[in-house]
Amino acid sequence: MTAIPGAAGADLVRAIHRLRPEDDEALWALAALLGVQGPPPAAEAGPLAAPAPPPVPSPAAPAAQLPPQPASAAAGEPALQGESPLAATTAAPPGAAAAGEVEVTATLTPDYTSRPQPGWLETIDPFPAAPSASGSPPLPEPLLVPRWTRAILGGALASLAAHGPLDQERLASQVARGLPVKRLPRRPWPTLARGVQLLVDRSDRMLPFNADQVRFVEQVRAVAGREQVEVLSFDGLPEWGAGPGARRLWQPYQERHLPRRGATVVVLSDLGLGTFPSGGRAAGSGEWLRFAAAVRRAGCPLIVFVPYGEARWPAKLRDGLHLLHWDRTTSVRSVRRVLGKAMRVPGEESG
Amino acid sequence: MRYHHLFDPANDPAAAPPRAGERRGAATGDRRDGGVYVYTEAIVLAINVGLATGRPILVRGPSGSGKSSLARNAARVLGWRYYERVITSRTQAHDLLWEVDHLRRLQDAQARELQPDLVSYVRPGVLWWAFHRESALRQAQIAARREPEGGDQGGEHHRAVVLLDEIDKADPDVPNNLLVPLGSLQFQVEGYGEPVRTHAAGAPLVFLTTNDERDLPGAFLRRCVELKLEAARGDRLVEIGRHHFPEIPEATLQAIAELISPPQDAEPDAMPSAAEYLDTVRASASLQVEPNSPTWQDLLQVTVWKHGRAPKAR
Repeated sequence: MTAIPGAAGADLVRAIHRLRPEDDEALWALAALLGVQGPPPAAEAGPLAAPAPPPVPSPAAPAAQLPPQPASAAAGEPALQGESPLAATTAAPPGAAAAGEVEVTATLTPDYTSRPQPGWLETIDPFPAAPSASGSPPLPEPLLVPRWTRAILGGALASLAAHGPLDQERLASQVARGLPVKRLPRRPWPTLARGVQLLVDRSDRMLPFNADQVRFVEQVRAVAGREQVEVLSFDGLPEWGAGPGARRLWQPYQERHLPRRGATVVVLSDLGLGTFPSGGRAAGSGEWLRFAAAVRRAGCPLIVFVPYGEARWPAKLRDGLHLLHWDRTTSVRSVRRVLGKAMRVPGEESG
Repeated sequence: MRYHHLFDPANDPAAAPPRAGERRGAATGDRRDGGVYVYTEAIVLAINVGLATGRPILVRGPSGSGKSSLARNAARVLGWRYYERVITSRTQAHDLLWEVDHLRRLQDAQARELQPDLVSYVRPGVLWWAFHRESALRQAQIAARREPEGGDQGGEHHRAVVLLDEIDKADPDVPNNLLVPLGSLQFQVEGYGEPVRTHAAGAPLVFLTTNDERDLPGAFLRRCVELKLEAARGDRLVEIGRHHFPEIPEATLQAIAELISPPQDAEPDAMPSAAEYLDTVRASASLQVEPNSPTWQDLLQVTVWKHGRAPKAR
């Protein structure tokens, strides 16, 4: 049986009704375009999960079987009436077939994934994954809740830019004072348009999070745009050496490493909180604050994702940096709590 | 693949292969005139499914694979009006519905000609034009704006094709914010009493293109018909060339396709696009540079072998 997601089910019925596929190839090709994947194995009875197969009109007697088509449809214009197809989620009611019409029936498998999950499901650990056949250990669970990741990153990486609606108050004030209006003042609006620089801590203390770092980089690229993301590595503190390639080529993070004004700088680091036998030198709070000040002077908002909990964050850093717990407890709400609507670009006017 | 076609380019005389001597494809660069489009079965099916279900068609594919020109040609085949908007990182979903002409409002204020209501400064966006041309025309007159180019294509047909080009350039919220107007086929304009609305029989066919610069939200993807255009190679390139340049000998088209074909294991970026192939053919014909002539390699360097791409070792 093939599962048909709810929204696709109604559209599949519409498409079958309007396009009247005459062979399996056409039927499955149009089903695939609507997100219903793959024909069943040959052993299965019907082409769809429908108890009654979709009407495939016989070439011998198509005219008598087909529903009457409006004149406009014959001229290449679909003429469905009523609710918008995008908004529709249910199939045509059964038993509505009248004389000269074909009843199209499909079974919709309930889409459990889109239903709200019970609260207790969030608090329990899933069963461990089955051992992989290849012998390689399974990838760890993502540190951010997968279905929230896009929204969390979208909120965390955006900076405020004067892209929003007109700031009428500022404009009125400018005009009232007889000042020339060289630029229309606009309200600040969160945007990812100015790009992101990712600074990834490759120190040994971050080794347990190596797979998470790789995943995080890909997630940021997917949200902000591949061309918009620059990735640099460092060990301990960017100012000790950072770069895009091999460690031996790293140079102390300086002005030339800074992204363009307004781009968000994201640091993935434990801020020296982790322990590891060969952990190496950890930067102190003062060093991190100096680094953050330099980034801010360049007009770039800075945010740090830390894999350890808030209770362990040094008070100085908690007050002086935008820190987010890189963990499943982080939600869009917690991002808003730390950053507000989005990060302001240091030194930039609000509108 | 047999099914009832709501959209069939074969039935459109303008889409038929040009006769010998008839020259098409004289335009250069990203050709959006919609004059010629070489359809595949998959493209035709996707458009038919989009028409049958009312879902937007999300077109993926490498640069130069014909994503943007598809919408305009489909509008020609259908005989519908056509509107397009290139999305940038600053575009908001709202801009596609309506915008307020603040500059004109400011000018009017300074000239003491300020209209009392905001509606006088509202400019219809592409989806307004596509949903309800009549009210958009009325509003454009009030706001002293003209209909976007392409709106008069297809006479005054009540339906329209809309191209929202490079949707992946927009901030992540934009695609999801489009779901409501595209799904409900209506939206409210500030200061307007009635919402701008259409119905399923008047709904536009919306094409969205993406270069996969960034991932689109899952909720949005689920509501689209997805069409992936592959980079044209070999025979497909020649077929495209034949439709654009019927006056150029087949052997020349084949020779150029062969000469610009990259190694088999080339990365997708290393493959010249159909648009670059057409430009090479066009330049070769216009400048009378024959394949394998002394100037030929120089021509390929500026049309095909760019950005570190290299020809196949021979």
